[in-house]
Amino acid sequence: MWTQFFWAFLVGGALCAAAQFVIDKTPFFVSSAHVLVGVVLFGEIMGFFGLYPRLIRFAGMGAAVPLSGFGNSMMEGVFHALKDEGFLGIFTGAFTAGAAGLCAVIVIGFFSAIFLKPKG
Amino acid sequence: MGDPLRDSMRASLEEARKKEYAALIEETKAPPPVLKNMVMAFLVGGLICLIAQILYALLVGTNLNDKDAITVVLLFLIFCGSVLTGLGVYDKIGKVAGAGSVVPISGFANSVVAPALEWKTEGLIAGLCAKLFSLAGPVIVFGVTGSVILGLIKYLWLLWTGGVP
Repeated sequence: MWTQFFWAFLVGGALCAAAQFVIDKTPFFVSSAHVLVGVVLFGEIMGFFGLYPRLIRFAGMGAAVPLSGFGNSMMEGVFHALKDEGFLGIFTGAFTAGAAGLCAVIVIGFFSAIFLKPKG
Repeated sequence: MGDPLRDSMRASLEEARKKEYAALIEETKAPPPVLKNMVMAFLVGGLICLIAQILYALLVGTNLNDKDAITVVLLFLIFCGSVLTGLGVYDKIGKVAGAGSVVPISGFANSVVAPALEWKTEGLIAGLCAKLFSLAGPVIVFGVTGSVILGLIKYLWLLWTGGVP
């Protein structure tokens, strides 16, 4: 269990550091939306080849917490639905798997934006 | 109005000045401290994941299964990211951490709440709710589209190999 704490820290940190490296080395301005899009697509491609689930098994939340984990879970959702429902599963899988995260982001984000005030 | 030749000359002079200025800025701008930024992103991003892992370890001991425990931890991080953004703390972390605070899922929550707060004064529908997705929109669009395209590729592959469900 203690080793998984270590690997969570290391893998999660490494993903963030890699993203930071890409930001700094890109000649034009990179917004946080660009970074997040890149990270999600990275997670999906890793998930497509079955590498990301292995990373999660190994590093736990170190791989699940970065947004690439969200991309991976959408990819896994599509594969899962593809197995169960056939062709139509391609169109239902992503939202089924991402439902909890998306719903939480929308609802919690909505209420925090209502009740809190902008700073600075 | 002055004669068109003079106007166009003035415009081109202005253009040249702007170019010169941009070149000057490019020259004097210090390169970003790549290594220091990476170390800070590593430490902060790693710390967020470590906290998540500790929470996960605590939750998995209860009657939650693996998958539900991960979901609960992610929901907690989304909650923290949203509230800390509203309190102005997350942006301060972001100034030091860079990608270390953007890449974890709390950064996704931050990218939802920050523009919504900023445009709150434009009204509930046209301001707050519309801007909830100004940064998160591209992420969802690319995420869903990407997974559908890759899913189609997988489907075609299954057709090809005869493993169609």
